Amino acid sequence: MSIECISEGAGKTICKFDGRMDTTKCMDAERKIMQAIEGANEIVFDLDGVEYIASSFLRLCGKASHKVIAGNFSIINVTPSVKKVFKIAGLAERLNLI
Amino acid sequence: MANYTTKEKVDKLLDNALNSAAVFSQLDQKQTDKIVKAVYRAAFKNRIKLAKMAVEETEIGNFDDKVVKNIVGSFYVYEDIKDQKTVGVISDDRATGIMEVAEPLGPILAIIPVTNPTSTTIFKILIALKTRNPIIISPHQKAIGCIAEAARICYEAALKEDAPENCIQWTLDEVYDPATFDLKEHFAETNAIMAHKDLALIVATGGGGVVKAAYTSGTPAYGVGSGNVPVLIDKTADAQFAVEQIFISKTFDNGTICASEQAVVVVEAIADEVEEEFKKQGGYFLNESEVKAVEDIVLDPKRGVMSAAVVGQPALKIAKMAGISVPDDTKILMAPLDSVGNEHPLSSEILCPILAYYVKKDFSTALATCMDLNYHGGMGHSASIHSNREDKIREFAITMNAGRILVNSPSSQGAVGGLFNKLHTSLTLGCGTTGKNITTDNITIKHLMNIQRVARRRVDERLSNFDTSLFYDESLSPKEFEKKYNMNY
Repeated sequence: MSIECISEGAGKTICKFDGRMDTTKCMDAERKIMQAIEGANEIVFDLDGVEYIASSFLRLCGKASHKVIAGNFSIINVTPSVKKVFKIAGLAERLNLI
Repeated sequence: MANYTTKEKVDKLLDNALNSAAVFSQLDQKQTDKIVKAVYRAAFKNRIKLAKMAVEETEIGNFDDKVVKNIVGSFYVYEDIKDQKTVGVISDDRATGIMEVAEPLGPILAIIPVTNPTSTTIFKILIALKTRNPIIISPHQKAIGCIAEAARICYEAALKEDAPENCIQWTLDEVYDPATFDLKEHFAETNAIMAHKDLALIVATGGGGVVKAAYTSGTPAYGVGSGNVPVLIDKTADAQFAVEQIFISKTFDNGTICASEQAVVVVEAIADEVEEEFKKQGGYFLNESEVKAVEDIVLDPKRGVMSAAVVGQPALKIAKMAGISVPDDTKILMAPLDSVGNEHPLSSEILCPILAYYVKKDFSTALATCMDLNYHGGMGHSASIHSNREDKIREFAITMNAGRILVNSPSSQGAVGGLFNKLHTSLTLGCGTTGKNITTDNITIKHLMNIQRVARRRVDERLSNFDTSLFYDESLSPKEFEKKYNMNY
């Protein structure tokens, strides 16, 4: 598992994910991510290489997005199949998929 | 969720279901099949416990047959669907260039009836999961405990195979207590789910009221209709066999299946033999005053429909309720009637072991009576015939208005498919437009997928060779047009 959160200055934090973000992985990663984004002004989830997401990952995205003001959370580098998941769940716009 | 408003509760259910649908869309056929197999096995393993719960809670039907119903809802349904493709490309015909891609529908609401509570729950869960759709189970208020338990068993088994969270939800899990249960709230909640923007489909199995509510909700729906199943015994039938089949069907779970025979119509030439067989196998022929006594208790006087008190009750209990004395081995009450209609309540659908009984002089008049019965509240549902003449079977099939025409079989078990024929195994039987449904099919996985068709280029050769300027030639008759279009083809 490789989940990495980097602070880029000016309060911007980028978290990079890859592989399968299944329930177990999300549970293991949640605390680390929530700590890493604490106090950030802008949060970016980079999903390059993510091929599967579980419900718990959708929840994690929702939780993270509430840490910053609207528009300052975004998800980038989403594969078409994962984008479809956000679309079906009706979350693509709210979570600012780019 | 006692502190939530109806709207909040319904929004939460659908929000969960929508997320589940999104995650489900990523699963491939292998992962999907693994989940379905685990769920079927868990349900099958618990068939006896669930049957016991269903009978104790609803006081309808009997334990042995509830076990069989659970086997139908789990094992036979699984057998029917297990090898079917339901994910991604499900067919690819290179000759026509048409490729079919299966897509899930999204959240499904399943309305579960009191008569077949656990078996219908298992069945609907299996077909929903096989097609990667999350399902919300809405139990009949008088069967909440057993339905919730069936759903819970299936859900836990699904989760163990990494099924998406909330792929199975149920709206109630507290056992019905008439003193505290808020029926109005239950209906309001069900209606709110039905009309919710994120719901993809309703599969409504139940009475006319709930089916109509489903159809008028604005959400696509599959429903069922009421049955009034006639069974014609032709002179070429094997009387002993035919009567045996009718007993297997009509006594099954004390007659709770809507596809069970409601009236026997016998051709005179074989009537004595048939009557003898009925008596031998446990049929008690009511006399005129006894028919009247039974009529008085089978109808709800306020609503003019069958009384809930007799549904799924054994013949002996019904006889006792009617104040008539019958032999202890009586399994079915036979009511000889001469016509069909509201003035003869026993000619209508009554889900318990009572059979209207008609003797007609020949096949043609027997067929006419079957038609009267069919049009008296059972249009589009099922009809049954015992005959060994193909021409008579065909004539019967063409005359009846029924989604299922069962031949030389018990109609209850025949209509649900899988046991006595190759119909798809289902506990939701479509009754076509005359039954106010969109299909006459046994509802199964094919109804729970959106099929996307990829149409590869295959130009009609006739069009390529045709002078298209003739499209605009008004002097060309349709006949000449056809001739030119099909020239050298």
